[in-house]
Amino acid sequence: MEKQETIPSKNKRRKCKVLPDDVLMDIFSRLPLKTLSNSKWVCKNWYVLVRHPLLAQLHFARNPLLPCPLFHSQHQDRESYLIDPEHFVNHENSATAYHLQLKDVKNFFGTRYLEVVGTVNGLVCFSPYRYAYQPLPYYICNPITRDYLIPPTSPMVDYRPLGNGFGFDSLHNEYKVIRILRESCWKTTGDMAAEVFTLGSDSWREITTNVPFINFMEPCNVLVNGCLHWVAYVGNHVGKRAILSFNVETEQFDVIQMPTKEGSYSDSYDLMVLGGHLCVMINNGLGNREIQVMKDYGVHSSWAKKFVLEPKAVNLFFSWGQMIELKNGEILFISNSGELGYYYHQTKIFSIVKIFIIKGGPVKADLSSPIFLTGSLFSPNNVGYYRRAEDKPFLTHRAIFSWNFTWSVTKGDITFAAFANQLKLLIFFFNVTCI
Amino acid sequence: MKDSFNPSIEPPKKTVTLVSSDGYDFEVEEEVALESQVIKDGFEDKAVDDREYLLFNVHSDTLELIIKYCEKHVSSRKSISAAAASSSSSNGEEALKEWDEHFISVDTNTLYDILMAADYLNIKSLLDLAIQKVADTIHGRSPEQIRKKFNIENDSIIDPWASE
Repeated sequence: MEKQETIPSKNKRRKCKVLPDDVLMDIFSRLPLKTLSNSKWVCKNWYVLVRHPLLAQLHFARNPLLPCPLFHSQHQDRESYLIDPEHFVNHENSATAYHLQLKDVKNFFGTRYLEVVGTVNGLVCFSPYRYAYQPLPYYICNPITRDYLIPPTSPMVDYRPLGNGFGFDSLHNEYKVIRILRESCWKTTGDMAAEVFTLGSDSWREITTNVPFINFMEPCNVLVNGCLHWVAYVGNHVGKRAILSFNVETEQFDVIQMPTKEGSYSDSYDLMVLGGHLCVMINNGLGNREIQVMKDYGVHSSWAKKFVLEPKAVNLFFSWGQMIELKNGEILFISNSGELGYYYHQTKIFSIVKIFIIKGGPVKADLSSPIFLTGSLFSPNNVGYYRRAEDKPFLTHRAIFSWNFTWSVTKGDITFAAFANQLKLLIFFFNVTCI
Repeated sequence: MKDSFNPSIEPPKKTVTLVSSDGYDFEVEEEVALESQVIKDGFEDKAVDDREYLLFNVHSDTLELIIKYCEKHVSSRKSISAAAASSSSSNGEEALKEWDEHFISVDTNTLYDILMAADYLNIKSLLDLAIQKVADTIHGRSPEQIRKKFNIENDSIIDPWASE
C-alpha cells in the first residue's frame, strides 16, 4: 500500500492534544506540589484535575509524607511560616520557610492569636488562643491548596476547654478534632466532657465514655499509634502528671504513667515521637534533658532511657524543645527560642540550620514558631471522600464523574462546594467531548 | 525430513499481523505482540487462526516505535533471566534503562503519540515510561511554557497569584 499524500499532515492532525484524564492524573501524581500548584493554571482542564480529591489520594499514595512533629506555637496571621522537613533529610545547612497566608482568617478571628492544634497528612488545624473561654471556631486548612473548613461552633458553651487535638483514624480514613472540657473552671471537681468533630460531618458529637478527671493539660500533643497524647495533671493531685491518651478510632481515653517518678514541680515533660515510638523528654530544671522511649506501646515496663541531651551543646536551659528523628539516628532539634539545628548525640554537637524566608527575596528569618509540614493535596472539605483505602475506584473518566456526583447527593451541606466543583467538571467533560 | 530431527533448529515462530490506522501491515512475533495487554486479552478470546489486529488508533510511524520497544524488552528480558540463571553478573537491567531513556527522548508530538498508543494498547511499562517523561517535562516549567510545549490552548484561566 502506497502512502497517500492526502493523509492530513502530522501537525494538522495533532492540533488538539488532549490526554485522557486518567493519564493526566498519573502525570500529576508524579509531580511535586510546588510544580502542581503552578501548573494547575495551564488550563481549566488541568485546574479541575489538580483540585480533584482523587488526585490527592493518588499523590499521597505515591509520595509518602515525612513524619512531622507538632510544635505548639502561637501564630499571628502575618507571622506564620511553613518549613518542609524534606530539607533536613540530607542535613542541609539552610532551609526555606514559606510565608503562610491563610485565607479569610481575619474574618473569623480578627487579630487574635492562633495556635496550631495539630497537623495530619498535610492538613493543619488552628484554633484561637486557648485561654479564651468562649467556644471559638476552629480553622482547618491545607496550607498548600489554601482550602479551609470552619467546623460549626460547639454547643457546649458552659464548659471550659482544657485541651484539644487533631487526629487521624487511618482505618476509617477519618480526621477528628477533639476537645476536652470541664464544667467548672475554678473548682477542682466538676464534670468532665469531651466532644469530637469528624471532618465531613456537620456537628460536634459528645463522647459518652468516661473522661478521666483532668486538672490541667498542656497544649502540646502528639499522634502515635492511632492515639493522641497530652501531658496532663490527672486526678485531683495538682502535681501528679501523666500522659493522657485518646484513641482516635475507638474514642476511648486512657492514662499512661510517666516513666519516672515525679520530681519537683519545676520539672517539665515534653512529648515527642522518635522512630514511631512515644517519647517523653524530661527536663529537671538544671538543663539536663533525658529522653525516655516507650518501646512497646502501652507497656509501662518498656520505658527506656534513650539518651541525655547535654545542656552545653544545646543552649536551651529554660526553653522546651522538640525534635524530629532523621535517618542515622540523628535528630533535628527545635527550641522555642527559635534555634533550629541538628543534634548529633554521639559527638554531642549542635549545628544550627539557617532559615530563609521566601517573601520577595531570601531574608534571614528570625523564626520562633515555624510549622513543619510535608504538604499534600487533601482538602479538608472532602477528606471523607474515600472512606477506606481499598474503596479507590477504577480510574476512568466515568468513574470520576459519577462518583463525584453520588457523593454530592449523599453528603450534607459541605456538598455545595463539591457540587460547584462538579459543575466545573461537567463543563470540562463537555469540552473534551466537543473537541 | 532431516530438519525435523535436528533439535538445534527451532520451529518457525508464530507471528501476528498488526495493521496500523493508515493501513500498513506489521508482522511481529507473537510474544512481542503479547506485550500489549489488549492484544493478549484479545488473543485469549479469539479463535487461534485469526492473527490480524486492526489498530485504528495507532499510526504506522508510532507503531514502528512501539514494536521496536516491545522487541527490545522481550529480548533483554530473556537475556536478563538467562544471566540470572547462570548466576553471572550482568548490567542488563541498567542497560535497558539507558535504552529506555534514549528511546523516550523524542519530540513532544512523538511522545504524545507513543503515550496514547501505549495507553490504547495497554503496555504498562511503556505507558509508565512515557508518563514519567511528560512529568519530567512539566516539572519546573511555568504555565506559559507548558502551554507552548504541549500546544495547549489558554482557555483564559487566570492565576490570581501570578503577580506576586
